[in-house]
Amino acid sequence: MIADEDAVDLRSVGELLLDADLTSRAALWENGPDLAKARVRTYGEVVEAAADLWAAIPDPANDQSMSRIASLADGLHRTHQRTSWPGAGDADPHLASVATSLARAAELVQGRRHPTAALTAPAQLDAEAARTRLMHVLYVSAHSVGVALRPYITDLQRRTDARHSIPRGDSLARARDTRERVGAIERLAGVALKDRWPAVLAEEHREKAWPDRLGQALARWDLQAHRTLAAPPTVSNLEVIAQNQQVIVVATAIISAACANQGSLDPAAVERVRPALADLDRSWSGLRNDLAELRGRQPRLDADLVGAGHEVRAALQQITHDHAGFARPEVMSGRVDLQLAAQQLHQSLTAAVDLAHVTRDALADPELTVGARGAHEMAQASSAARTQAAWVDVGSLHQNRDVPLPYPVRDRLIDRADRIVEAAITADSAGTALRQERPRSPEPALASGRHHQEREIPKGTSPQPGIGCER
Amino acid sequence: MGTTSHKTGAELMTGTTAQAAAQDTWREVIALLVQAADVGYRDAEANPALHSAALGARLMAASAVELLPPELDHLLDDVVLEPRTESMSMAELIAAAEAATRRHPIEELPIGASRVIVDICDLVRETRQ
Repeated sequence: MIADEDAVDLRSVGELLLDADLTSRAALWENGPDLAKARVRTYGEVVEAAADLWAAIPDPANDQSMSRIASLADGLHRTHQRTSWPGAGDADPHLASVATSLARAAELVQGRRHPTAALTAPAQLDAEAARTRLMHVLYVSAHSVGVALRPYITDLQRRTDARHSIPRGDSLARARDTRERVGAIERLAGVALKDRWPAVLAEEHREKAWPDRLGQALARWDLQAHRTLAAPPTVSNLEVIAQNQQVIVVATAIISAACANQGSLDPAAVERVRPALADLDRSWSGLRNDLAELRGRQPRLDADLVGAGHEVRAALQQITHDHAGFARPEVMSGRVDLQLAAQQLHQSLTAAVDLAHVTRDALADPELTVGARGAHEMAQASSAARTQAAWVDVGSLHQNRDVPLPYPVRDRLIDRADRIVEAAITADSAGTALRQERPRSPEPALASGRHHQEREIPKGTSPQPGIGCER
Repeated sequence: MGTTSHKTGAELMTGTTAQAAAQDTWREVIALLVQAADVGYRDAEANPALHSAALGARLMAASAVELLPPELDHLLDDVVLEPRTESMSMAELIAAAEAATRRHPIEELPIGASRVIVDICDLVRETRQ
């Protein structure tokens, strides 16, 4: 939504469409009877702006879905003018924002594209994705009108049944008629989306990875992991920290190998670091597996930690992956400055030495509790001398309550953490040479647009999520 | 509003039977994502490319948990998944989580579900071979 109408809106067509999509979904959460008339009043503007944008986007197939929807909405508007329902009044803020975004997107497309210019194949796919998202906006917006009309109609029906008067300006018959007609629009949009949403969105143009995204994501993660561990530690948070550190280590190895393959890092230096990274990977993995066994009744994670983890994963995924597998080195090098990415990752390994120490401290924290069953099994399997007393009391075991760590379990976890500290120091030392290497590639650091196209996700053949996947 | 005389704790919290049923489904979605993360993590030993999606599933499960009332966290332990899920791959479990979200209209699911579901759809695409 645009907060300041006087400000210049710098958003791209894609960003405007995404904003319209998310705002239309947000409208679904508000459904009081007081909203119905405003939403009905504003829906016509949404359809009108959508029709303008649809007409501006080139369409060789001449899809008529939008013209049918616009015709229905036009008829509904004439009825509203004739019957004076819902009448004049405020607009619905969500749908007004959607209409504004769509109108702005239409202006951008109309102003920048030559009407007779031919589209490239990727541009055609992007246009198809834009039409699909636009249709989805109409589909969800229509549903939001129905959602708002439902309590309005129920309220008026109750008054009618109780033989109470209906407030001036309200109409049960008009509301029902509108609900049917907007429902027809929703069904038409649903048919248009069939087999297209969300699969076609895979062809939507995506911006290149910005050079500093990874560096910022890693710095934010390191900071957040320290902050999270500064609070009373939980097994869930520690487990995700270990898992994310492992993802970073694996990505460091993959990107370093890709750099060596593309000639931007010395292959011998990369080969020297490889065993240290593998050892660090195993060390974090050992801790993560133990913590997974010790999960108790603590399903929640620190929300900021989750946000930082999402960002690291997304920044790395954008570079290293094609679907479920790793991308080829030449594809990765077309996406970002690989050497810079490798350096940022190796720098993060330096910071990870401290994180390993902090993790060890957290595991030694007497406030740390774990699931009783996992603790019992791990303690039983340890070589610690058995005592007469059970490691975990029967009641806690039965209900899998959270319990303090039995000492064999704590010893095992701290041993794991010590190994991580050791492996992190070794990996940091081994990576020193890589952090100091200078670019040797004669090519410019940033990816070209042509290379970027190679990572666009092709259409899949496996079953797609169908209409209403946002449910 | 609520139509049954014997309301569960969840129904009392939300006020409607439909929303209570949707919350049960949401807990199932969380359990499927956690299992997907565990299976993906296990399989990543042989195929390290799976680490990223496994972490993604774990983080999405955490985001999904955030949408439920904290006082009902204990109900997450009561979710029992169908036996057939035991032999599923990470990708299949994530797809099953996405499919489960379709059982209810969006307005019955917890507020904010749309964002999580869009992320799950992205993960479905990401894990497709």
